[in-house]
Amino acid sequence: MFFDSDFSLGPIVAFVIGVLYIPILLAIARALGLYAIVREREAQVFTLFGKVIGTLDEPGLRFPLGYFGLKALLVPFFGKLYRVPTCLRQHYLRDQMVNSEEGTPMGVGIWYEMQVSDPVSYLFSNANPEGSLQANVASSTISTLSNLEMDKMLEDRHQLSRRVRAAVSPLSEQWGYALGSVYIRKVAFTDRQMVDNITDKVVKRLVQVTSAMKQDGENRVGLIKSETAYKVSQKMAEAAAARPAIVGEALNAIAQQDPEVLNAVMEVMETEQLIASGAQVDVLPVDSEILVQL
Amino acid sequence: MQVTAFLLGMLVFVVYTVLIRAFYTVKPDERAILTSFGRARRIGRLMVEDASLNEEEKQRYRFPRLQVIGPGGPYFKWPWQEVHKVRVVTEAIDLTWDPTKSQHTIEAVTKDNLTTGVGGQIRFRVSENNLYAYFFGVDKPLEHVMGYFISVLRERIANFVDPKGESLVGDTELSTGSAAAELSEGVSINDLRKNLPLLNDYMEQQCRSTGARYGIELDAALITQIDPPPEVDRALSAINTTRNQVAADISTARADAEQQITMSKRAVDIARNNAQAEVAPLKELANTLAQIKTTGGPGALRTYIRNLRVPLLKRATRIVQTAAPK
Repeated sequence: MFFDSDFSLGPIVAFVIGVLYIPILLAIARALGLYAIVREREAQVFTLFGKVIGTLDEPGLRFPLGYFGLKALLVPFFGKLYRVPTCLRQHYLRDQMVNSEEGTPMGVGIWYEMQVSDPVSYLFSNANPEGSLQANVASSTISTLSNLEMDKMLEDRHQLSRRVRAAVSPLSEQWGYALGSVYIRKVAFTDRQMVDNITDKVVKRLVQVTSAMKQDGENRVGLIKSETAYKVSQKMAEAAAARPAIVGEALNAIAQQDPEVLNAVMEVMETEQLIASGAQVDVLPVDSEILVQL
Repeated sequence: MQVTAFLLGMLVFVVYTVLIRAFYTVKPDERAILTSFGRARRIGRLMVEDASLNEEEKQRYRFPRLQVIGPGGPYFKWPWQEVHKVRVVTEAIDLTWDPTKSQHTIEAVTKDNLTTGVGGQIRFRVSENNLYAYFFGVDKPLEHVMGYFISVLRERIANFVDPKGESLVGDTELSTGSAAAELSEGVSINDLRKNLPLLNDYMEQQCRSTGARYGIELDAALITQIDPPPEVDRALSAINTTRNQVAADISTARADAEQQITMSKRAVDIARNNAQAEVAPLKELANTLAQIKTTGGPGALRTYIRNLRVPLLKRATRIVQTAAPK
């Protein structure tokens, strides 16, 4: 059907032009600088004949003609429009080498926020503002942290971060950058042998704790055993002394009552034992003065 | 014909941009904001406020409050307006996440200079009150939050000591000796492991300002692993093993002691009873003989004893008698 000889391309072309007409018209108007759409956190810097004629940084629909006059119409032909994002960005500078006061090589990672505060200075004051800022942060970090005590470097990070920020901020402002928060994100030992030595130190301390606990345990067990032996021996002595105490007390009581009765008791008991023993008996007279061979 | 086609084309463009592309919906887990010619719709002159920021930070993190479009629809927008949507559900991300580096653990140095590994997650969500920071104010909000979080975390680990001042060995575990004082200092790695919830609380407290700073609120810090080198781990395990062993030895010794002391107490009782048993017939016999003496006098007592000896004469094998004098 499209290749029919009667078919004309005119209406189709007209339709396509009709569809694209408004976007093309808007693009041309934008290219000619009749209007500009400034997005959030964006600055548009207009230059003409090598000079900055102005900056638009208020978001929304803007008409450069209203801001810069007829010069704005020449920008597309004899000038340039720069779009600069002014949102908050961050960068992490890894492994900056510093030496502590003790001479320990340390690796420091520094994390910082940055934001374009002056788009014109950012564009034209420095060929590589980000690179220069990085170099500045790095050198400031090294000069701030070098020759500090290792413990201070590890523990007073926030205070040191503030010092780095204070040192870098004035220069960064000159290049159109505002430095945001700065944090020393990492402080680490770069020498593997030192890391191993510290690990070894901690291990040995733990071993010392283990030994101390073991020794203390043995001491306690020894103490318990010796205290027990002492108490047990006391009790056993008490047990051994029980019979003499009780029997002696009973005999004393009988003696105090009547010594003759006590003698009689003893004679009775001795005789009973003699009878019970079944031993042979030789009877001698009481007043016998001769030794009898049995 | 061509003019009609041209006008029809324009009509198609207008219908497409004004009608078809004009309607949008927002899902339940989403929030949206609208920009007109690139400018976000604000709530008057209201700015995001956060008491946790100091004056200098308030100047740096100045973001306007935006009109937030909640779930629902269909909503209408003009062709010069643009919709920006974001999910506001709580999400989790690993602590080791770093778009510029692949890593399995976060390295941190403890107070006693031990290099240890840290692992875990953070739970976060986009702050509805500060969508401006999330969409426009901050280039990569999550990277910002992670950078800030890791910085604070490492600083905290480098300074961390047990807040209760507990030593590695409990006060009751070491009695006396020179080692006790020396060992009263904590071992940082042990302090950290014992106080992980405290560390997490501290991190949550420190990151309360991230919503106002970067448009991302920290829901929870979930630091779950403090991984020291394996040899340190083994040494810590040995301490626990020794602690248990010592406790077991002391318990055994105490049990033995109690048994022996009980036994010795019983031995005293047994000896007393035996003596009492021995004394009882003595006393009884003495009473009986005393009664005989009381009744019959000393002669009766002697007679009783002579009588008692009579059975001995039955068993006599030899009797030596002297002649009586005439």
